[in-house]
Amino acid sequence: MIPKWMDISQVSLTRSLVLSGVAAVIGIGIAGYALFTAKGTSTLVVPPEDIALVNQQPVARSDFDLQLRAIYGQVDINKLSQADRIKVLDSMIREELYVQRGKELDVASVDSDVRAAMVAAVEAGIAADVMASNPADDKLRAWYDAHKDTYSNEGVMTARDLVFPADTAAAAQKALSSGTSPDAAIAQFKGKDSGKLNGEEFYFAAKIHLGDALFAVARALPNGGASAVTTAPDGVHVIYMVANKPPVPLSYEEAYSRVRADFQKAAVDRVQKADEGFFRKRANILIAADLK
Amino acid sequence: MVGISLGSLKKLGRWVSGLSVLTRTVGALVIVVLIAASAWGLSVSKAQANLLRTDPDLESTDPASMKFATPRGEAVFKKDCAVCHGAQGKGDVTRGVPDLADNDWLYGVGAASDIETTVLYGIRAPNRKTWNLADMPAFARKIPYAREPTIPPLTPGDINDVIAFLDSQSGQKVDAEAATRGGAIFSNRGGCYDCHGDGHGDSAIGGPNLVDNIWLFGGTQKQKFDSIAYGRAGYCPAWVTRLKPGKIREVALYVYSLSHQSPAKGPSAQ
Repeated sequence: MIPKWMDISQVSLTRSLVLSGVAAVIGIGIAGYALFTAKGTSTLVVPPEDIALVNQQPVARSDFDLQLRAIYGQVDINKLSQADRIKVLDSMIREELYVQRGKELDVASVDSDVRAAMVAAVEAGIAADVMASNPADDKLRAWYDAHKDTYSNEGVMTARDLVFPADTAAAAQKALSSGTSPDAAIAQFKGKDSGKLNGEEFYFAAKIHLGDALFAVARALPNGGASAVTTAPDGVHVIYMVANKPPVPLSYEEAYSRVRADFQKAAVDRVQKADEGFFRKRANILIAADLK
Repeated sequence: MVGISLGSLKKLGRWVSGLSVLTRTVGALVIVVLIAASAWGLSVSKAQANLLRTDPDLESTDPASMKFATPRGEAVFKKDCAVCHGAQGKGDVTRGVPDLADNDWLYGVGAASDIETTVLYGIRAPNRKTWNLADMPAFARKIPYAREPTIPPLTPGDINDVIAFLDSQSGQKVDAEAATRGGAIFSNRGGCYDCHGDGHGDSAIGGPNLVDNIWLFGGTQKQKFDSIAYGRAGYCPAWVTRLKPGKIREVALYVYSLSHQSPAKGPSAQ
């Protein structure tokens, strides 16, 4: 007589429970093994665009070629020996292995250089997408219209900075305004050229040479004009303007390169800010009580 | 198993013979087309793989590779590059977009591998491998070149002298004294020699040849003055993360073909 639980012609609660338990243990075992040994989808074929797969991570052929050219740049890389190629490949595989190990060890959490490089790489990745898009002309024109003031060439002036004794400065100024030449005024009113300006200068340079106060006086002068007497710590000045070409606004076409660069820079800033907002939104950030 | 297979085949045969002639013909055609399409797909896939596994400089000399790659590269070019470079790749001097068909190269010597490197990593693109070793300083600024702050600004007169020097180097008649002064600025305080050498440029860093009468941003007196006064820094995106390697190889070979007629099409074949 066989026990009831072994007789498959009869329903047995014991047998059902035992078999269910065994199935559950086998299932958990398989799942556990898979969980701790999973490698994802793997292939045994190296794709044509790669030179190797290291733990299924591709080593790009374009990087390999670039390395070959960087190392053996003076020779035709097609004439390199297989040994030379394998040497470079080996160094790239070594690098990939160390990168993978670095990820396993989470070196970014302890190495500030790695952290900085990762931040820069992510920022660059965001920027790359924006920079690769070609902004429509109407958007660039709208940007140009909104920032027209920033697109002009640099003003140019040719001026003389004359210094006179306090008692003759007013008369010298009057003479200069009436058409007396700077050299004649210097001779007549015992003045001198300060030497701060030297021929034709860009506005920015004239501003550095004259100082802010005298430059502000100078840039407002017309051609052939003489400024009012201006007293400065180094004497009494009269600026005589030989030629003044104020900054000229650039047309959209002339400013195109700068407009495009500025537009894209603003777009990159915008997208990076939006991405950062997204990162913060999905992150679980806990802040210490003393900094809340 | 064999019995079952034979049985199934017999059943299939009976089912097919029960169909109308028209249905059988259409069915046969569909099967032929599918087989042909698969064969074509396989051959293209194989050709693409070969294209990627061979050095681009070798491919550019192989008519069969060029015949396969250039029409495909042209399609990529028209989709992604023509928006700046124009449908014929002739560029636009008003926007500093280079002519890709004139065989004058700012970066590299125009080999297919040089072109591919530019397509992959771009020029001044946000990629560590991009061409970004130098910009043209803006000499009408307080600090013309942030990367080398010791380079001083120039006056408008200095800039005109440098232009006179360059014009003299390309054989034009200019004020000799201005050219001499300009030459001194070029070789000394202007720091121009650093990238432009003796004026013939340096394609390893993208320093253009200034005496060949090819001007990326235009060659009028005003355009040359503006280039020196306000600087230049052209840009090309890095396509390495946006196009598949095969497409990058194809477009590089197409761009190469714009300035190098293939043996099959070129004058030597006529």
